[in-house]
Amino acid sequence: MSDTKKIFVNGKEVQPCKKAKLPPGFDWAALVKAKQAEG
Amino acid sequence: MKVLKYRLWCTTDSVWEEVWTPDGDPAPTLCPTNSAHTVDGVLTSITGSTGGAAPVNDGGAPIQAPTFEDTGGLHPRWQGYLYNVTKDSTNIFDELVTTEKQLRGGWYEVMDANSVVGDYIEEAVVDKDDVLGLFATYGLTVGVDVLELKKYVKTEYINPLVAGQRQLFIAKSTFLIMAGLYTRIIYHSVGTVNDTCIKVTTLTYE
Repeated sequence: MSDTKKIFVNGKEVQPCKKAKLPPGFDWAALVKAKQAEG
Repeated sequence: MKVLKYRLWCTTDSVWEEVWTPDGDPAPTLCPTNSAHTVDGVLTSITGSTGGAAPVNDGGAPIQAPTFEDTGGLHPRWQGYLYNVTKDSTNIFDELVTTEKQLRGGWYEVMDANSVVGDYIEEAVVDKDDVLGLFATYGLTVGVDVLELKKYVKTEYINPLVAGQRQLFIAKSTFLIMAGLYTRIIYHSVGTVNDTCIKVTTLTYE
């Protein structure tokens, strides 16, 4: 895929943004539990 | 209560009959269709049983509830979306999750014959609004950037020959999605002639 391709989000053209990913082994369950505890 | 399944040979009708009897009771000797029929007791045998906790009806047969799926008390929900894809571009379709749910998978289907070799689809869960409070950790800006939490379909190349057929993704586990996050469908189009159309259905439990 070319980096120059247009990007559409829900039909609207946007500019590339920064995207981060959770690191391998991230404790998703612990985060969810903490967030749920916050209410 | 454990229940045993017996197989009896009814010599009157020349057929095998099935009888459920509580474990510990004598083996059945009467034909369940008609007690006046003759049963060849030499051929009677046990062919199955239920577990000790299995419920049974008044006749001793196990009760098998017509379950839709084993959902742990949650309700399955298939939600469909129809998306128009612009040719030769990256098309992202975000759907806001309004109530907490567990994502298991889903399927997509190309609705026309306009996809080409090289097109691919991806499916993910993202945080766009810093719902999780992790944007600062990763140097992201709210309203601009995206934190990808899980990409459960990655670089699934589309076969142009399977337009009109469901392509299924069903995991054996689920991924909890909190309200405020987004499910994200990404269609990378490399075709330069025609736009295309896809429908996507997600399977979640709520």
